[in-house]
Amino acid sequence: MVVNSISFFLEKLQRYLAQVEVSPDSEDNMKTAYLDLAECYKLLEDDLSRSEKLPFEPLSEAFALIVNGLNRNSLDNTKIGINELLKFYLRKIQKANQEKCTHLFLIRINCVFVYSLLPSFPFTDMLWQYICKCIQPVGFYLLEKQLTEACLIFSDYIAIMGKIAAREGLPTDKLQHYLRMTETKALEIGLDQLAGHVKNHRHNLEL
Amino acid sequence: MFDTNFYILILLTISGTLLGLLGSTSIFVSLIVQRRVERLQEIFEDLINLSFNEEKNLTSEIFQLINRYQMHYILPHGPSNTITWYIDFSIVITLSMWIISIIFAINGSITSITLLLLLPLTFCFFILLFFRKLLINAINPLDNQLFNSILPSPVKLRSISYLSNYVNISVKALLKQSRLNISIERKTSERDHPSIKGKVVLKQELSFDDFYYYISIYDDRKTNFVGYGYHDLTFAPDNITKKPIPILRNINITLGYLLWDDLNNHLIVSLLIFPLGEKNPIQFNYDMQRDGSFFVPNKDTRCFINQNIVYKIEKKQIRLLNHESNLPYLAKVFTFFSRKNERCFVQEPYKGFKRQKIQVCSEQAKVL
Repeated sequence: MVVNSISFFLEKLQRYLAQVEVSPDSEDNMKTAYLDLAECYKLLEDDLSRSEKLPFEPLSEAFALIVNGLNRNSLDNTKIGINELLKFYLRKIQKANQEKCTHLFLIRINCVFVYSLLPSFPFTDMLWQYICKCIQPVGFYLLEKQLTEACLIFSDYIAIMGKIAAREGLPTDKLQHYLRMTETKALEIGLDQLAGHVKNHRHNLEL
Repeated sequence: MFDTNFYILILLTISGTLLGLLGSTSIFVSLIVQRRVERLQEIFEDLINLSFNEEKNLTSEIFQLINRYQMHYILPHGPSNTITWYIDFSIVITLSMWIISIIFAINGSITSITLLLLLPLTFCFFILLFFRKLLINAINPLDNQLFNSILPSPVKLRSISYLSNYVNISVKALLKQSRLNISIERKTSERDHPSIKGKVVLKQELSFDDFYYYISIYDDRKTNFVGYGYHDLTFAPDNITKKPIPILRNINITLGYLLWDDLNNHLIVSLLIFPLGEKNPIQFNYDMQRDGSFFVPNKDTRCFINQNIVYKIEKKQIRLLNHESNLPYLAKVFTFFSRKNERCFVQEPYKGFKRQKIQVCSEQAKVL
């Protein structure tokens, strides 16, 4: 019997990712059912006495699924994972939740990349090349949709990954190319602040 | 006239002092030179080892190596100033001693013979000055012919021709690290002009230089642009911090201008690099795609050593020995190559490739 494990994986991943809900930026996420000490500024006694329940977090489940694939050295699963993460990121992002949404998804992608740097994972180069290829269309889509805040945060995450990659001796020419193109495009539509921000990242990428 | 015995004594002192100075200077110079050459060799070896690692991204390592070399090359100002002061002071003291002794030695009137006998003193004065210069140059060997051959300046480390002459280094790998890239941009300042001009820009992540180049931009029907010249960069010290700059990152060099309007949406760019120490050029092929107001490579760059083209450098002039490639106007370009560090280009070469049509691009390289 032929078991199509990849399509099974994809189906499961998509089911999780479809359930991701991103609250708008204006709404603070203090009032959740679960008390996270790192998230609260001042602790009240009432907070501690409340009974708490962990809400279902589909993104963590999806992430665990991808890391599981990475752990079994499956390049295909990881590629699909990153691809789906980015696609759902673009599906979920809106003007109102652009900051939160970018942080939420990009940090996961960053983590996947960092995990792939483990010496036990043999396809680091290929995965990195794949991530680089994916970055350009995503970045340009954000720019086209005029999600400026998201563009800024996105470029921050890209720069972090680029720095790690340069330290590991992975090629960064595609990233530099993306950053340069973003700079030109941003200048064309008059987003000088974004252009300056991206230029700074490009010059500091390999220092 | 001089008292003869006394004069001979003076002469002996002069030669003795000179010999002493010669000895100590030579020891000092050789110590410094040896230390420097050791350092240099070390860094060179690192660079050579790096150059065989083609697939890895090593630009920052190469950048750091060259900057480290720069650091060992020039001693800090403090100690070098002290040493200069010391040698100046010694020379002044020695000279005054000699002059005083001679004044004491003169008895009677000054005749032409006296002046003739004073000649050794004058010679020694010049020799002392020469030693002073030698020592200062050993401390800071900038712009000195003698020391530059033993201790190449940091600028030489970015020179492809120097590296390829010096050792059997993998030039292709180094150029790959330099990340040569071509972009064609619409020149915004002439937007209202009827025939809008496009700018051909060579981008380099690391500013390797010192080679002949040939570039052609064409599609399947015709050639739009041919450029050639000698690529040599000079960077002035930073105008704020005054630090010398051996190598720069992210530099853009304008190679020429072309007519924007008759460009196809898809173009092929071929770039040939002719280092002075090789015989086959390194070829870069780019597939360019139009994207708004510029053309960018849309596929991975292909980089290979083109064995079908053989060239030779004779008296620093490049000569084509043999070629079996279909690159447009390559043989023609070879008749015009010169080493005057000019970036020449011809627009629409199919309308006639003549000396009158050759234009020179004199725009400075800049960091963008």
